Amino acid sequence: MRPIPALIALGCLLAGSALAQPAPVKLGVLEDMAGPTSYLNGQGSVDAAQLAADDFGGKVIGRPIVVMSADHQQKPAVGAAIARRWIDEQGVDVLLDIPNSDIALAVDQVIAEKHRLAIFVGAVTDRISEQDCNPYAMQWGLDTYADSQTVRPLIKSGFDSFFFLTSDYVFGHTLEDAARSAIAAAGGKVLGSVTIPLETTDYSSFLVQAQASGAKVVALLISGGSRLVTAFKQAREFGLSDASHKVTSLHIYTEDVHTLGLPATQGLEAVVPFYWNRDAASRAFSERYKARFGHLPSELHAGVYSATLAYLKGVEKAGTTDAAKVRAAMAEITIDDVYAQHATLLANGRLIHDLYLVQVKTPAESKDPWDYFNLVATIPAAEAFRPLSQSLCPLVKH
Amino acid sequence: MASAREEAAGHAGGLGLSRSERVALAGLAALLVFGPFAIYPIFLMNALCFALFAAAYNLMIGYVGLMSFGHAAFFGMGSYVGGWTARYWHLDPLLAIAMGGATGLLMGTAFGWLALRRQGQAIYFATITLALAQMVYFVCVRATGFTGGEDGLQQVPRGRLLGLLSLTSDRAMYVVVAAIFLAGFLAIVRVVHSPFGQVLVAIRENEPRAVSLGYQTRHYKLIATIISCTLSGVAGAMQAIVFGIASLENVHFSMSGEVVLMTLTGGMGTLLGPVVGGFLVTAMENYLAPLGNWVNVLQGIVFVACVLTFRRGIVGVLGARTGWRL
Repeated sequence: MRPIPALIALGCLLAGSALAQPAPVKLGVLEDMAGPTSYLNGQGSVDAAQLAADDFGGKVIGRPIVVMSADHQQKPAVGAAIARRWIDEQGVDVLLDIPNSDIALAVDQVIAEKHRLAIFVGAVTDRISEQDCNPYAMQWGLDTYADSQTVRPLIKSGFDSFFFLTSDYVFGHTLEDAARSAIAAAGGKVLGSVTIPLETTDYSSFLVQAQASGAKVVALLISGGSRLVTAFKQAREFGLSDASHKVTSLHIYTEDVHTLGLPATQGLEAVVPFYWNRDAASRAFSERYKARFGHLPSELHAGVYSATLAYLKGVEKAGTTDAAKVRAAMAEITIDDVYAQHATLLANGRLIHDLYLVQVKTPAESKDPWDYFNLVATIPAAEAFRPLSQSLCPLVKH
Repeated sequence: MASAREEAAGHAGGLGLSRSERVALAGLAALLVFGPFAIYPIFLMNALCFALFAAAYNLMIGYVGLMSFGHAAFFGMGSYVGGWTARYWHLDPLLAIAMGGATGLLMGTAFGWLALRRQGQAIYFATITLALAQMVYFVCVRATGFTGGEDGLQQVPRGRLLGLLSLTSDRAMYVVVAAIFLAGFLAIVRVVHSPFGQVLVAIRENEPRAVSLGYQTRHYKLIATIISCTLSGVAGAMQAIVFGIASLENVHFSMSGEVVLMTLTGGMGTLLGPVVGGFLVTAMENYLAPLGNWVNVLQGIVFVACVLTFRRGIVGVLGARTGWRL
């Protein structure tokens, strides 16, 4: 072949393939890949987004779906820098999960400035959909308001005085505020609280302080993951829980129960959005997830799956990836999947859906490995989350 | 020490630059001008902040031989004060960056005065600066009202330059950052090539001899420290303005380690070395980010390889091979 015609042919070929392959829709999953919460989200969340993309058919509005991921290393500045680079350089269309409230708020700032969508699953501070809300942020996972609903059944059963061990960052502070108002509303009282630096590994002095307060419930408002597990273990060593005293976290992940073991956690109550063994649909989804990735999905993984699916449906309905149009479309579609039942996406970006009050089983009750929760009650969406009428978000018109 | 011929050549130019240095500086200026057309501007701005920080650090370790292990304190506090004044006092971005520099200046004066009271081995200076920087770090962790604690000081606005030009566009911000970097870098070049700088080098090479020549070496060391800390504060404040956030990692001792890494890999005691090192380390962190924590392992390997095989750093080795003074 002579060189020039060959080059032209090659050029046509390349151009042809470029035309045949439209620009992909990019989903960026920003994670803590190796830190203390990585076993609750991490790679599992990236897998969940991929699963949702594959379930959707791998394509939306005729464009292939690409799932990207990065590690924010638990640093707000790193997280914000990745978000910027993704949006500026890679043209990422939506950011997903973004665990750790401090990083979430930094990323929230970036997406508000760049007018790009983000769906927060792993970040529980309610500031995302309240004070710091913006038209581009959506909050899919539980927030501190929903978590604090756990105190109601506790107070009803006589555990009505509280002492908090609070992580000294936005998660701990907002959760403590929410818990205080929930406790006051339910007629309980708070006997005291102490803030704990994030890097703490020895909780003994804080636990002794909690013990001395005489509170019936010692609530560990420590971000989920290995830190919480450490605190729980040390609380057990100090003998903080007996018939009339409880050590609890307002949020318990199945994975933490697994690490701590049923003898240490039996009887604890928590509000969860998803439990793999809740019904036939959740079991089927979880088995499918496990068959592909080797472990059961955590509630955050299921949340990322749901968020990804909802985003893709929104894109399909809007017929574009334009952030404002997709956001508007997402408010119109029906969101009803394995994670979110009876769901509505509110104007402040909060997704409300049914939550479940669960109680950790006794060792005798647990039949299978990972069979940990008894379903106590279903909390309807409208009660589970802060009603829009009380919203602090300026986007909501009262 | 530089040979007499080089010394003579060194004093020929306006800033006292040798020919090879002028060529290198022209190359750097060209990179600054054309860089943003090829490279992601935010990455460039981040790299320039670190390059200025490393160049400032190099003034101490490379030219005076003072090993500070607490430079994160000046960089980090610079970014907190710069960010805080921009956010709450609504200062002009230039003024906010100047406030960061002023913070570095004040802290550098206090820390330098204290740490230089201990004469003798470098290890004392290193440990005292490290200890002071750790104090600063823990104050920052607890002073959540000022620093935001673990959350960092967020929502720092880029503001409007002189009240006129909005810096929200990355291009506009880049021009400001590049100008400040260049000013800071040229200031260091000027200091190094001044008679004052020659005394610094003399102190590095043989302090007792400099004393015997009648120099008050402590004063010289203190002034060099203050200049270095001021520019570190400027670099920190600039970074806070660019990214809109000032966080604990900037005051953490690993940042002090990182600036040592930048200076050593680039080439300690060379003018361009820290800049090259700053770009290299930032590029590794930026482009290898998908590897997560493995970046730290890679940085360690690079550091070990650098110390084992080319102890003078990239620019140092390049200079030695070619005979240029860079």
